[in-house]
Amino acid sequence: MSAATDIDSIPVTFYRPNYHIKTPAMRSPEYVQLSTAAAITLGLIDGQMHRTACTHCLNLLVTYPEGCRANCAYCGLARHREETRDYADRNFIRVDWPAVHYDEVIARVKKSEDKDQFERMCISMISHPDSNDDTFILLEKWVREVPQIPVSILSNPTTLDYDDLVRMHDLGADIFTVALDAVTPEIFDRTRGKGVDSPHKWEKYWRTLEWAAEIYGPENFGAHLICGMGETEQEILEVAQRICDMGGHNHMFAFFPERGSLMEDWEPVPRDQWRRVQLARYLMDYAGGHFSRMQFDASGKLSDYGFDKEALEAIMQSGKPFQTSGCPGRQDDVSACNRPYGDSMPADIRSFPFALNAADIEKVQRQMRGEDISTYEE
Amino acid sequence: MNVNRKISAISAPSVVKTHISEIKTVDVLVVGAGPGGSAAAWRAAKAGYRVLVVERKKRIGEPVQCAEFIPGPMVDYARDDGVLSQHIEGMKTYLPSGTVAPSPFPGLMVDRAAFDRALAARAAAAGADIMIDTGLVALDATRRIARVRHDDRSSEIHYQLLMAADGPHSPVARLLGLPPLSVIQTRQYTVPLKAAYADTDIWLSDEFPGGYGWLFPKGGLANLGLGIDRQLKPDLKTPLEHLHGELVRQGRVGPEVMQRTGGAIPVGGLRERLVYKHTLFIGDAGGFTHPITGAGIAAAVQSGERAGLAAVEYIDGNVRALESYAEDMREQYGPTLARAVERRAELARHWRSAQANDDPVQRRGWIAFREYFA
Repeated sequence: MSAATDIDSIPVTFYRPNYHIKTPAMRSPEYVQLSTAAAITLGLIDGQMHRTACTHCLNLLVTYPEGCRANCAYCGLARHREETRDYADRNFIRVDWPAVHYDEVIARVKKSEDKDQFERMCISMISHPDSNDDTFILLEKWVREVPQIPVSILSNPTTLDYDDLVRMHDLGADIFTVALDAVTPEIFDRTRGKGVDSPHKWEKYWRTLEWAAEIYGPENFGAHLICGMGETEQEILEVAQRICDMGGHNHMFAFFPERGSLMEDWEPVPRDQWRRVQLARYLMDYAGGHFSRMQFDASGKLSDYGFDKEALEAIMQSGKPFQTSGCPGRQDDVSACNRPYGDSMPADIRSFPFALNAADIEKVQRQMRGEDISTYEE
Repeated sequence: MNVNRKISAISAPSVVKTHISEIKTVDVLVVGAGPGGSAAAWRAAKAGYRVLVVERKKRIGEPVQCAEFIPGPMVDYARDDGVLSQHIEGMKTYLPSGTVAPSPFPGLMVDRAAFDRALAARAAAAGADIMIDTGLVALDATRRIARVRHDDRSSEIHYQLLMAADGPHSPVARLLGLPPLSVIQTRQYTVPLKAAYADTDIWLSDEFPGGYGWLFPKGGLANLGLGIDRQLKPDLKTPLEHLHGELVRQGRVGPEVMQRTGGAIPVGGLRERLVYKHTLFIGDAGGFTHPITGAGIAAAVQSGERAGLAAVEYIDGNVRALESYAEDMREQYGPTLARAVERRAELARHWRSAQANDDPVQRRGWIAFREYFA
């Protein structure tokens, strides 16, 4: 990092990652980071996103100069990057996360700078000693100032106890999510536990999911699952069904090799695998499908959805299973959290942040048949 | 007989946690501190055996995942302070045509959490040790060793008999390789009740395929909920919102949702094997829940007490005691549950069709009507 210009003395309202200046010291709860899409939607950055004008979810991330103490192998925020990239300059789920004064965010939303596009706000926690307390502060302030936009918590189970979940619920968070990400104990340990000298434990993550089911109730909690980190389709869908049986929803991410992460040399998840998992997850969460009726081959690949063929075709033609999955917006089975291009390039979309048209659906179907085409190809 | 340190739980609102590292060998290990598990534990502990109950929730009875109604004959179990919420006199059944059919159906609305804690306290007073926030993580039924985990530490429990009182999804059954029970899903809101009411309301309609809607009053509040087979109708939230909205418009309940919950109800009748590898299945885990009404508390307590007695007899040397438990339960519950399963199958032929909204079809499938028993 170069230190060409020292601007520490200048109050910072907005900071876009810039590797040519010394990164200002910015700390929650005064500051938060937000996704590029949210920054565009709020008018903090000029810019356009491919085929989508805005995001409907204001994704916020707590921020500290010391960064996150976890070291997840697939994550751009991981601890091992601290030698090469200040925390506020790190990419996360494929995009830059500018930092902004929290009061500025609230002021802009109250003035409808987002043109009333935000349907939900999400606070992402990290592994840091102040993350819990600052999340309470951010949540309380938001509910007081912007009560019409509901809040989700993307939690860090490692630092949370049962009573913390109760307190967040009482302060007004209506949805609680757990980023389990890895769907087998072995993959979990290898990517975010002992294997990478990171504090997370599989058992604690599951325990927190159970607490969330108790405290937030059905349909008001969910898990993040990443597809393509070495698990089979059968393994990830079995976990998805378990979440569904508990009353929760599954928020799916296609694995992509995040630049700067320990897994940056990995291949992205194969397109056909991802499409099958997307469709099967939608059947479970929204269409009455069930893992016990699905069939898998010897390698754990999904071979039969266990679903009426005509109904399955209609669901596929709707395109909804292939849109980004996340916390609900105004329409329950379409995510407010459309995370534009958080798990792929715009030229090769894995989670569509917009409603699919006929050409998109045709490409998806070709991908499901095993054709190695991107969504951009004609 | 019991050499473990005893801390009296009689006057405590919650059950005392014991130190897990002190317990290695017990006579009876009970998984689940709901009504069935606590009843089994009470019966075995009363006979002087070493009993350990493990409950994976942090607080016994919470969150409440049931409508909180128990039938009149269960009144003796509702005498502890804070348990009884109100008496129920009858049931009003709303048929698809809009006809309302009243029938006498006396019972009690209880505070389910207080009810569960009272039963657990009774078991503890009889000598059972109860460990909360403790989950079952592994089971070797041949050697009769269970591994449980509490606060990131796991311990081995050697047992003579295991009581599976761990609910419809039964981790015990899964670890034993037994098939899961077929279930429907429920969702419930607790809402303000605008005027005192002494009946339970039941809505039978294709709006709730595979189940029904309910309003169960408890003092100034009510439990408003529904059961639905998600294979027939995946969305439970919208019909519940719709029912809630309708009752708000009628001025019967308030718009606020004080609590929301949900769970699974077994609908397939008794588990094929109620006894397996020194394990006895109780309550929901054994499929004792009524497939039509979803009622399960009374059956859980009764099967639990009977299982506890079987444990006493078995450890006393009666090698047939476990099979006697299974035979007695099939004799007591088999016919009732079989009829209910049959009625469910009949209804299943009509859901999602015009016939599902014919009153005669619904009368045939609901316990308040003569046609159900014909």
